[in-house]
Amino acid sequence: MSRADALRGRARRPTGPDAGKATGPAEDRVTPPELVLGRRRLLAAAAGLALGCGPSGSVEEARSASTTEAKAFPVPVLRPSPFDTGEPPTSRRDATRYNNFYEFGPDKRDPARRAHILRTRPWTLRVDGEVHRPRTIDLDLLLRRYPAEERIYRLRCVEAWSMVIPWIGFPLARLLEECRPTSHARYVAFESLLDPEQMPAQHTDLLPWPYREGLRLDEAMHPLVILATGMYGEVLPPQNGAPLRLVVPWKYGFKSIKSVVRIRLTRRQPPTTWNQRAPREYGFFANVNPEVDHPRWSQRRERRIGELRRRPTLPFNGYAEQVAHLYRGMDLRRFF
Amino acid sequence: MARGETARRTAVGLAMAPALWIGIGLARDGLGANPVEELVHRTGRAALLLLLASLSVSPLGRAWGRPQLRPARRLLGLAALGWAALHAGITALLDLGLDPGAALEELRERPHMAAGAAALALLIPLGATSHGAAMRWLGRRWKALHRMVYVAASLAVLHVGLQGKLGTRQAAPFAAALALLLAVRLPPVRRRLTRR
Ligand code: HEM
Repeated sequence: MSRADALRGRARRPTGPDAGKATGPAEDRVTPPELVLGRRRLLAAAAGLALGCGPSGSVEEARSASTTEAKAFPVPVLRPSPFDTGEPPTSRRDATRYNNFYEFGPDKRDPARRAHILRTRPWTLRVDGEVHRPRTIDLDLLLRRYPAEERIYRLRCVEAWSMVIPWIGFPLARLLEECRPTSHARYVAFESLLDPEQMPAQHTDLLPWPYREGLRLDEAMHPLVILATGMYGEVLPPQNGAPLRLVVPWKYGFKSIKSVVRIRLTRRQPPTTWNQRAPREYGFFANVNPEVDHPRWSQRRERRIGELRRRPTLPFNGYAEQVAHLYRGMDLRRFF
Repeated sequence: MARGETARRTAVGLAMAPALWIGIGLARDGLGANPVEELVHRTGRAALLLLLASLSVSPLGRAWGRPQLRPARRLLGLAALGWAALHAGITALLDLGLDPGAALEELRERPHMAAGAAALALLIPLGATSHGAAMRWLGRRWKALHRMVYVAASLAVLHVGLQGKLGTRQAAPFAAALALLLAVRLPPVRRRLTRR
């Protein structure tokens, strides 16, 4: 029995409330060797840190942990998720050097070049608005409270490129449920950190800052939606939205807001950054849809990073079976 | 003439420089995570920069009083055409998968693609008639035909301007350079800049 198997054998709990009934696209999942290795690394890290996922040390310690080589994720990954795609993950190198994070500049190489100055500890998340139990939670507390799991998801950027990323995180629904949404809550609004000292492009008017995103409450509660704190078996690198980012795999990447500091439940549809910036080009829903083109380019095909030619884009980024019911009866051309 | 030779060598160097630029990128990090996109960008920029370089030969020659720079103008123009053809070819092959339906759809629905294709379509006859025999054969019409290069360059700048990421102004330096090159051709400006 490999150590990775041993790790899985010690699974503390099922993957999520819907793990049993989910019919994910991953029935024929084969764990790529890279990932098994990744899990071994994790196991070693978990053993080394022992109860490292317990109360964190001082702020200083946490800060240094995010900047030194010690990037091993303290929470073991327990088992493959039924939502995992069976596709091979994009190389970690590519996933950490090519992405959009406008707070650090509009070029897709800017985040990897500049985001290292982001301080990810101490970090607090505020959850408020239409909830019975608003709260401000320290990130390390959050990590302890919601056990992390691995989710290997496709990521489709609105710019027609895509990746497959092994995220580590927990379902957003867990957090939202605990905050007990009121009967008026219909939407969830998210906000990124606003701090031009750490996010240099916030000195410019590239976008209205802070970056904002939103989901309908039923979308936000869907078991596919996670708050990610890691990827590739390690702590989330700053350029990918550390220390806490949203992942909504059936929507264009810009919906998956990074470096989240605030989650607010609302009665009305909240304003969202790209929609405000160019309402004709970026809708509130932004579901991946090969039938509805961006005004300046086609959404029918995408380039999977690491591949030469383009491949067809799938409705809802391949998650139609899980999420199409959320939009039954809606005109997806109008609500793009 | 030795001076003409220097101009020619400089032009050949400029024409090949993008290959070096691409080669360095390949050697350093394989042109990044999305090498096809990077290749399209680098070949496109090479084409437009060489086209603008070609357009600056005559004004420079006039200002320096050296009409023998002319061969450089043709060489740079042909290089621009070559890089533009490669640029369009990579797009057609790797982005559109050589699918004529997809290509037609792009041309119809994306103004920036139509502008790029129009620019290339104009550059091709210019390249084909750039040699001495065609010049003699076309006579006075040659000059009229080759004025189309300004239209081609404007369309190429438009091609970049229409595709840009929101909030970035990547076409601005190209547009400024083209405006300058057109301005120095206005008769009053031209008279002033000419050295005899
Ligand atoms: C059929 C002809 C052409 C096609 C299909 C084509 C296609 C493209 C495509 C797909 C892009 C990238 C767009 C993006 O990333 O969003 C691009 C960019 C560009 N193209 Fe073209 N193009 C054509 C002709 C030309 C010509 C004739 C020139 C110049 C003389 C040119 C210069 C450029 C430049 C400068 C860029 C921008 C590069 C950058 O962003 O750094 N293109 N073209």
